[in-house]
Amino acid sequence: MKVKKALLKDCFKEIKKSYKRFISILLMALLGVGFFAGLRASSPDMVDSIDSYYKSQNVYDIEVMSTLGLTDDDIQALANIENVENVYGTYSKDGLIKTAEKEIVSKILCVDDVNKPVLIEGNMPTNIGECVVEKGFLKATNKNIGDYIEIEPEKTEDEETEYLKNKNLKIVGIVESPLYISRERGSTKLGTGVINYYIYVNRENVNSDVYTEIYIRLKDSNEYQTASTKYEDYVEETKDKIEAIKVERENARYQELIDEANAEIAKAEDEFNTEKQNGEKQIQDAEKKINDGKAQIEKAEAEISSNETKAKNEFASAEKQISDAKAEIEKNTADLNTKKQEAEAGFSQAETQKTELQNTLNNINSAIEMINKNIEEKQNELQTAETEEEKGKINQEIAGLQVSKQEYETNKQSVQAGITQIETQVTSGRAELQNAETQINNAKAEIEKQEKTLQQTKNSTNSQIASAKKELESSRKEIENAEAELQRSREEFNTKIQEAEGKLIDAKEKVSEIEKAKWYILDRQQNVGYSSYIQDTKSIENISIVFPIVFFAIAALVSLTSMTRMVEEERQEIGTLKALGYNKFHIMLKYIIYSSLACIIGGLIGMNIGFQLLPRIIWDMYEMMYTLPEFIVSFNHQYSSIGLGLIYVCIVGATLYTILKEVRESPANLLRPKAPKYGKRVLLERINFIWKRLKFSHKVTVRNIFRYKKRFLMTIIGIMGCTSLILAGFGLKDSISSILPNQYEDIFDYDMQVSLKTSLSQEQSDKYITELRQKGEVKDVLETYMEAGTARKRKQQ
Amino acid sequence: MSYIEFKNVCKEYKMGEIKIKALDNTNFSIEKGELVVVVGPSGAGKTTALNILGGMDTVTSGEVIVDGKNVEKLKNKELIKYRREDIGFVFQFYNLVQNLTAIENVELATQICKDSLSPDEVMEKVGLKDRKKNFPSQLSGGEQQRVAIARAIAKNPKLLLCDEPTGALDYKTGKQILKLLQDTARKENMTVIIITHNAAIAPMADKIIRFKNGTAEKIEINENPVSVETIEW
Ligand SMILES: Nc1ncnc2c1ncn2[C@@H]1O[C@H](COP(=O)(O)OP(=O)(O)OP(=O)(O)O)[C@@H](O)[C@H]1O
Ligand SMILES: [Mg+2]
Repeated sequence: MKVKKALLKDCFKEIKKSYKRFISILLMALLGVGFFAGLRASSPDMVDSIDSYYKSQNVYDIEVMSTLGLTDDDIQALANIENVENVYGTYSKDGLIKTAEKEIVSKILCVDDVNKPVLIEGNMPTNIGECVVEKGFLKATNKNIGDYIEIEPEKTEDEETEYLKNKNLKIVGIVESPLYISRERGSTKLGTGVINYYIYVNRENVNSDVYTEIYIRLKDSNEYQTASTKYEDYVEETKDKIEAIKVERENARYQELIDEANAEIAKAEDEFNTEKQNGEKQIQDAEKKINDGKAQIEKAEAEISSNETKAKNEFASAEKQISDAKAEIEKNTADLNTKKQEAEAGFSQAETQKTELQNTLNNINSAIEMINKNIEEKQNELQTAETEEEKGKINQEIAGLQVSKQEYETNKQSVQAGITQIETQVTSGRAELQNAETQINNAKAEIEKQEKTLQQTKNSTNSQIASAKKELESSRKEIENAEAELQRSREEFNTKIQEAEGKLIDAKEKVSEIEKAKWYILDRQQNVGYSSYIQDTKSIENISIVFPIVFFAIAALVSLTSMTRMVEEERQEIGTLKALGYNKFHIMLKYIIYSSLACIIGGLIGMNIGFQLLPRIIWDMYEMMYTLPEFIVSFNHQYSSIGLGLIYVCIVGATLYTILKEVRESPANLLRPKAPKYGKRVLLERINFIWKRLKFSHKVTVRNIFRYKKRFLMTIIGIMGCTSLILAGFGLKDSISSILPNQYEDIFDYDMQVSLKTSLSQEQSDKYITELRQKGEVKDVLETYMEAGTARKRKQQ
Repeated sequence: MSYIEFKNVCKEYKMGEIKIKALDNTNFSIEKGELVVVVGPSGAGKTTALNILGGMDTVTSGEVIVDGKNVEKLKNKELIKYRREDIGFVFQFYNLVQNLTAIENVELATQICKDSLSPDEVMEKVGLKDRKKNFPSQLSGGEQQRVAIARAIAKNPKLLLCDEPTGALDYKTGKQILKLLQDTARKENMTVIIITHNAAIAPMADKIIRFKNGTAEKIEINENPVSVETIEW
């Protein structure tokens, strides 16, 4: 149907004329659509933001963890699964960082191609000596980029290998991790049991033979939006596929570990045995050596003692000989002395004899000489004697004299011989004595010499023996030492062996205790930050359904009232148009255009404001809880058209409702001012004593309430809606603001929490607590025990 | 058969439990080209009859025939068409669209008619050539009524119905308006029905219908209608 120009003109003039009404409807549309679209878009915008964040940081779709760690075989097996695009094995562990004031528990992650952290400032760690941290970490530790931190990672399974090659790390940058978008960092066995921060280290810094996590990216998963049903179905589908290989992989890992452990045990056992044998043999050898040594010592001892006795005997006999000899010498000397004395006596006798003999000799000699003289005289007489008788007598006499001389001579000779004899005897005696003396002296000298030699020999022998003994002693000591040593090493060996045995047994036990590997196949929903984020988007979505309803209702009411008023005002005009021959459509068109324009303009402005403003306002609040590098607001065509459609239905519907009622009336009726509804008597009028007392204006009011029920209802609903909105706002504010006092005044009574080290002894902690109690500022102390635990949903069968 | 026939027309209004008989068995007939003046006391049912005739109200019983058409039996669409093409209505309070200029108010009517007259010509005819671009609020009562008449006659209707067109006007202006209506009826050979309280103007009509208590009590035929100018009251 052709739209009449004049009608359109009228319509636009009308807008110009009643711009306040137009704007009020427009504002309602603006508010309604703005709120609806903005609120509705907030949730998708938040999802969009995390979606693009996760996509750009290549965040995992599926995470696999195992109680026994994961291997390259696992990666291979996972990579072969349909839909799986990339499989990343990575490491993470909790660690303690001690600063001057506090102890911080940190999650140590490594920089990978998956779950890439966003660099906010500085550089990524390029070597094993560097790390990057989150912003809060710097604040908490009072450090800056370029400072060093000392990190003590949680003990590895075998408690021997260090998880990090380099534990003194230089902070080179600030990052944000897509894995930790909320403040929640999870729990730990370290420190207070709560992880405070995360830090990223270079992958090279990690020293681990198994992966702690495997992250999986699915093929084309970037085509789906995270948290969307399609995405979740896709992930779930793949998870089921992983589930299918899970048991096999679990067993493989378990078997691998068992085999490894068994092999290690066998090796250890071998080693233990050989070591044991070696040790035993060594001990035996040492024992044998000691025994040999001992025997040798004993032999040496015997030898020494036999030598000693022999020497003693020898010495004794030698000494005896010497003493014998000495005694003999003594005797000899004594003998000699007696002999000497005897000899001396003999000598003196001999002397006397000699002298006697000498005297005799002298007598003889004198006798001889007298004889000689007598002979001479006789000779001379013979000479003189001339007789033969006389001569014969003289010759006889001479011969007689000769014989006496001869006799004398012989006597002389014998005396002389006697003298000589005596002399020789004395000389020989003397010589003999001399001889004997020299002999004795010689013997003495000899003996002395012998004695000396003996002494020397004795000395040397003694010293020899002494040194031998000393040697013996030292070797005995050595042996003793060796024995002690042996004892010690035996003990050591025993304890070692025991230990080793214990360890072996432990190890064996451990092997038997190795639990079956358990795989946990997780997805993003198990990431605390992510899931609470997504949940929050859901609650926003819910709010975004409820709130706009109120706005739509109000928009509908407002437009209903203003359009009703407008139509009522223009009753005459409508009647005129009708009288002129315009049909319903033509007449309604003005109002439809009017409200549509208000609605569409308001809606368009509203959605543009709403899409920009509301998600940002909401994000502003959530930004306190979540760290996302960028919040994306987008123009959501779906919600904008739904919002616009809804508000259009509300406003134009309300318009149609009012105008349709009017245009159905006959022009005659329309041209007559609308007959006001006739008033009715109300119940109150029958209660005379009240009614009487009412002022006229009050009576009118009371009647009007029942006369214009629609207006009355609309007022009620309008006030109801506005009140409920305001009340909801206050209520929200009130309930949110009471969370803190509720939590921290009623539920959490404490002002301060002190975590005691588990290493503290009972006494120490008691002492500490009493000290605390005695502090003036402390009102009360409650001792509690806290432990982090994991709860798992029981699998439904 | 007359051009317009009102046969035993009854109109009742229900006001809650009370029934008001606005028209009670009304009968009259009007010939084509006649200028009819309807007079009668207040509440006699003049407006009701005119509204029924103009297709703006329904009858409770009876027949209304205009140019051979049974108006009371017309369907909604036909009724609209009837109003649009056959009827020109001039109201007591002009009922101009306030948002539109004088000429636009006329165009409002002509734009939906087939054989409409040129709005400019009609405006000239009613003597408002220079006030075309004025809004109703900028015009005097008489000028506004002239615009209303222009709007009605610009449709070139078969029937021009005027409900107290001069009721709100002073003597001189009222006279001008009546003159305009009389001239139009004469020149265009248009059937014109004028309701008035002023019985003095009756001599200008070809037929005078007197209403009383919901019926056309008396129908007079004036053989020598006079020009309005000659009538003094
Ligand atoms: N819509 C209506 N509802 C109820 N009663 C009505 C309605 N229209 C007219 N009436 C009644 O019908 C009767 C006739 O009214 P109508 O307007 O035709 O009188 P009238 O002759 O035109 O009077 P006036 O000269 O005062 O205009 C009156 O009593 C009036 O009260
Ligand atoms: Mg009337």
